[in-house]
Amino acid sequence: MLSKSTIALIACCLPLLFLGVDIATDDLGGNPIQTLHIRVGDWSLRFLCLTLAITPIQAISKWRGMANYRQLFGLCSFAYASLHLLVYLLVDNSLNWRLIWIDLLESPYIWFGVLGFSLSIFSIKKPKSST
Amino acid sequence: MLIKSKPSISEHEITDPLIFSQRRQIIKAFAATTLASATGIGKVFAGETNDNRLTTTPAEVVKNYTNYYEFSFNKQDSTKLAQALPIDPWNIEISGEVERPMRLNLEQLLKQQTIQDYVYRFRCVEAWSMVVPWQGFQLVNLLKLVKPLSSARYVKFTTLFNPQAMPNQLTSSSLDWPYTEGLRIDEATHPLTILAVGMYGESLPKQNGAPLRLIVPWKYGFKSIKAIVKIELLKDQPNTAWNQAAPNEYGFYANVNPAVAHPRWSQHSERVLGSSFFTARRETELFNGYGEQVADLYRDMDLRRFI
Repeated sequence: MLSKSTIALIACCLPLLFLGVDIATDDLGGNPIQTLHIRVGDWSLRFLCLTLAITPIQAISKWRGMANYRQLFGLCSFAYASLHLLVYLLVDNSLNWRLIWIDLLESPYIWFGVLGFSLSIFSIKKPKSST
Repeated sequence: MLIKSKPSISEHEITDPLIFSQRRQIIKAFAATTLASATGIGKVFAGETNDNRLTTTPAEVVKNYTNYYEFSFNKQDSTKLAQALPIDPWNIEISGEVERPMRLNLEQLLKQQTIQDYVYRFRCVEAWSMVVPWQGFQLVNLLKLVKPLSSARYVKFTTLFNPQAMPNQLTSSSLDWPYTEGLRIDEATHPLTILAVGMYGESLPKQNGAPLRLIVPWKYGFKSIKAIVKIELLKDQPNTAWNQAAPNEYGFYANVNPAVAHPRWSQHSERVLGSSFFTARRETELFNGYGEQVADLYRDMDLRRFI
């Protein structure tokens, strides 16, 4: 039998699996790069929301069943955000740093992404057993 | 006469259809190895080159990636929803500052016009582009029929208003319906400006603006209004849909210009639709690459001010 945490980890990777299937079957629409980019970014935000919701839910409902997964979900959010960044740099911009730099200067929405990703790097901590 | 927007493109430069049809397999094989190596050495990416050949975008992409807000905000959904649009018969009213205002039946109009091929790059303000082989005729040929007066300085175009078929015309307040667009008279009579009735050798799909749409290749795509029912020649610059909705974001001129960013995103580069993963974005050209033909129209204008 798989442990609960293994099942949770597999579940967290399911969006990647579906994405892989869509790439393999060429089912990402007319602008697959943008779709890929948005999809991994969306999953990062979903996991972030989930992670941030666990503590308030716990405080309100006294239900502690999610506490063990908070760290996993947080890391997932970071992992999907990293993929989002990699897709931007490699898949979309092919590491053309000049274009990337201009894009960064001229696109205010990217500033939020840079800020969010920078903050998430600082928020990574060593594992701490939850009490 | 076949108008080619770029005289430098010759037939042999067009990708072999066989290679083209296998491109995804080729790319996937490539992608796997590239991703593996790229993490270590970024140099494998040759991102500096700009592919200026007019490689035709696959028709399936063009047919399933349309901004047609009358039907949907989703670029794929409009493909299906637009099929509800009745387009036969279709009449076009031409009026305003003209000697002979007319109401034309499209079928009859097409009998008088010589339909030609125009392979144009189509650059959306959303920073993607495609290359589409349109079939159509020069707008100037239509304007000649009505004999514009010397007072006609602008041309305004209006899309069909039919909320039964175009549901968002009732429910969505994003734009003032019906959709309107406009050109200066010298832009409208420019030989590159066409009315398209077909693409890829077939009649224009409904989601792509059937039965009659404007194509102005050096301007952002939203200028190229779809499903035209009315053309008015005017003394003054008309209000146009996107310009009215957000004048600081969508100018009346809307000439493709990499140096002028949209307030919310860069216009410096564009994603060429149909290109594969790990292909660098294309560097957007001033006037979408048609500067040689159209730059003169704007020689006394500050392109940063007149966006």
